[in-house]
Amino acid sequence: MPNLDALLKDTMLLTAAPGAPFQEFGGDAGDAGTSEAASPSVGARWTWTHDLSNAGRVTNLTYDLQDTPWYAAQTVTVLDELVWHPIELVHRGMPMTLELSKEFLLRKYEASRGSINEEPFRYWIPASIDESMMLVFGFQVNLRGPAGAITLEPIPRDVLAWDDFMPPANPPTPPKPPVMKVKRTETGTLRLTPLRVLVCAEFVCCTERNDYTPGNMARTSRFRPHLMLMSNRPLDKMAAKISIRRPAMTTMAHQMPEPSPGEPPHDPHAPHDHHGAHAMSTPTRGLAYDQDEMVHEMATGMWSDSNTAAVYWRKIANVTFPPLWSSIFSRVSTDLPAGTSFLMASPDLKGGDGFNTNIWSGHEYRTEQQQLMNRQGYFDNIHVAPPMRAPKSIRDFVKNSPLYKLDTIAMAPFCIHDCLHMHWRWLPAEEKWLWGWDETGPYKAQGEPHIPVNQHLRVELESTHAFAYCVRADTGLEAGHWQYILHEGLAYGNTADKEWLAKFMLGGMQFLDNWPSAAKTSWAMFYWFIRYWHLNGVVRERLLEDGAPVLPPYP
Amino acid sequence: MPSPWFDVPFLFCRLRIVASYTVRKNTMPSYDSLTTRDVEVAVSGAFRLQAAHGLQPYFRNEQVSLRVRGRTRGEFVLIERDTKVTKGATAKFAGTTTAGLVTLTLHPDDKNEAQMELPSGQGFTLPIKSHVWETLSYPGGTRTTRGTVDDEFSIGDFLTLTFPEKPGEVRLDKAKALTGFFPECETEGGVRLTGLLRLTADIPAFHLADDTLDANPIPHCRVRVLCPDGVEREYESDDAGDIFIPRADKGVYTLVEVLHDRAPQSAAVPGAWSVDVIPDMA
Repeated sequence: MPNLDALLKDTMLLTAAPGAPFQEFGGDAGDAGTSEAASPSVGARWTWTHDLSNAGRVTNLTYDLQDTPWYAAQTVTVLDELVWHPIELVHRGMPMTLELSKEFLLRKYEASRGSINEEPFRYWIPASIDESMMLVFGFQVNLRGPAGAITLEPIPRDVLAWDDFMPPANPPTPPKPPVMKVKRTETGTLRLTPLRVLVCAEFVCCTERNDYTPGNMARTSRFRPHLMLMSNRPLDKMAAKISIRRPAMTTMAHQMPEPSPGEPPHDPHAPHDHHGAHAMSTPTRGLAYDQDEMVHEMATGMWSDSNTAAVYWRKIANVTFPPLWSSIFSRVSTDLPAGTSFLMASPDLKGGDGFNTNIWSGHEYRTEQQQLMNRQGYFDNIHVAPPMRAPKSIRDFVKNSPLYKLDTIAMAPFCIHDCLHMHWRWLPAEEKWLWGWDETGPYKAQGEPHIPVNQHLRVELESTHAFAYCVRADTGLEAGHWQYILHEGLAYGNTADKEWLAKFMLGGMQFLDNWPSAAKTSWAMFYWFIRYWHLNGVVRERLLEDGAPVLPPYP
Repeated sequence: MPSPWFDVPFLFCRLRIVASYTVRKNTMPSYDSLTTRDVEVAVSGAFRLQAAHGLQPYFRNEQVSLRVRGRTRGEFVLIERDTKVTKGATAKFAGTTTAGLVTLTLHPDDKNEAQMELPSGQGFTLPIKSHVWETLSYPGGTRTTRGTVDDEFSIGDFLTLTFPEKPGEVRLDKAKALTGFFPECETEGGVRLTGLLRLTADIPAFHLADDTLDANPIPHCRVRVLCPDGVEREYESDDAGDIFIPRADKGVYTLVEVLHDRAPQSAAVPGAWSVDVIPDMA
């Protein structure tokens, strides 16, 4: 029979840092923290700001990138803001809205170091944490509220210490209810227990690791802004929404190129032209003004993994047969507009025969039906990043052929700069940490979504640089069980796991031999090639973008 | 002084005293010491006060027992150079106190003040067991002694409250306590009194409250009661969470269920059940 302290041991923050200090709020705990102004919380690499007066919001998340062969050490803005929206619940047919506000805040934990080791491997995979926090909110129905209405109040502090604050996850057979009899000289008192809901909003920032992609190919830094929700009574329905908002323009700076002949020198302190592009440095020498560039504006793309692509992930560094989009993905949509919305996972979606994909054969598009996993939805991941632009000599090389689309090149399956990744499903990979949920928890079902099995996930684009992660559930909302929302977390891409391998791979790309020499050192052209086929001025997507018209065969 | 309160034969009283606080402070400022007190205690009582008017309106009951549930923890740490002394005691208890006297004296003058007394040392005690420890740490090692001692939890206070000129309900949450109810307890902010004095001809059959330490009464909660005539009837709690049913001398009334067809009670489930015996005093 757990009290609050026992329950919170299940959280990621207190798994990594069991003795993390906390501030107490709410109920009769006084006004602790009332005067606290929003101030940055600074860790070794991550920095963010949280203001108690706007408790459901974290702003200005930045990350200190280290020096790589592709960009200099710098601090980039990963998110403008993250918003935990009110959680909607229905209990016995009565709707209620849980506002994650200071009024209902019970505790705020902070920790900047701690780690989760290999074992146990139940809800949290190994991680070392950087600057992190956890907000604990408590809601209960005010039984003294007006008749016919549901009003909420904070859970009183004394209740939190009770051993039966929440029911056990596997309750024993309930005792027979007492017979409530009174004689004339007696008064019987019946205590009623209101519906109580505990919500933990964790914002756990992690240090860099190489376990976000199959084959440990990339180094990323995860952050885990998930919600955990538990009630003392079964719920009919639950809906939660988390907005993840990147800046409209990338804040990443690349080494400014040498001016091209005839151009004035660059002023590194001059304001950016936000409609232009940054030049990127490359790992090998070349004309400094003829380098990869990065568009300022963010763009959002979504991809689905091919369920037979595991073998291609193993060959991702293969310079002869690199991983083409047609072999590694089953569905793609780049540069999605605001308002786009897809169902990404659902218990209603059964595996088996799925959608058709148009794959370019070298002569024509052929239709292939995809085999889907259980609960697999429209896309598997979202990437918010500024697209790349091919070096100038290459754009000039094909400037009369706009079909080449060398001005906005999407990065996938890994990203070389300023990319926020979120994968709610991976292909059936070998690594267990890429497996999805089954009825018993995460990391159990190969190739299935990283979403609890009772949840429906919809992802909505709020803009070209922001999206909302929306889940709902109408089953499996049992008392005394945690409901995890956005358990899979997100990751900011830093660099290749083995930079020497990435350099080697870029330098050895034979498939770019027929392009100007800048292509041999161009990540943009690497990404372009694995997406596009071309011959004699005819360009085709190897995997036809979702919804795009099927173009005619090669003449 | 004449007062319509002289015409009141009985008062029904429900009171609840809650102590919930944690204190950590150096009580010996010239030393490196720390005193910690962690208290969470709820005392409740439901009883009748019978008129025994003299020159003032006066009510009393000498057979009042109070229900107690709580836990306390106290610790004192003193560090002197390389020696550390820790002494502490903790107790967890629940039960009903010995019977004691409760009196209410009204002073119908300009201030309309009344004194309600639960005299210390005349009942309202509960024997408890305290677990104690003493640890002495010094460069040569650490020595710890543990044990259990018989202790006593007691309640008593002298309350001042204001009453209306015309007989009516009196809320107790504005009453001023003289000593703080419990020996050695923090009086500022840590202890609160709630309750009500009611002019009712009878005692309530049922009372509905939430499960918090404050046991907040639940108003307008509908219940189904099986009456001695075999008929089930619906009743609704009043603003104080009480359900009054005109009851015959004999017979048993059974609370069959709380009706969940209306918010906010639809979001509640029944919890603990207790019975207060309030003998007739007439």
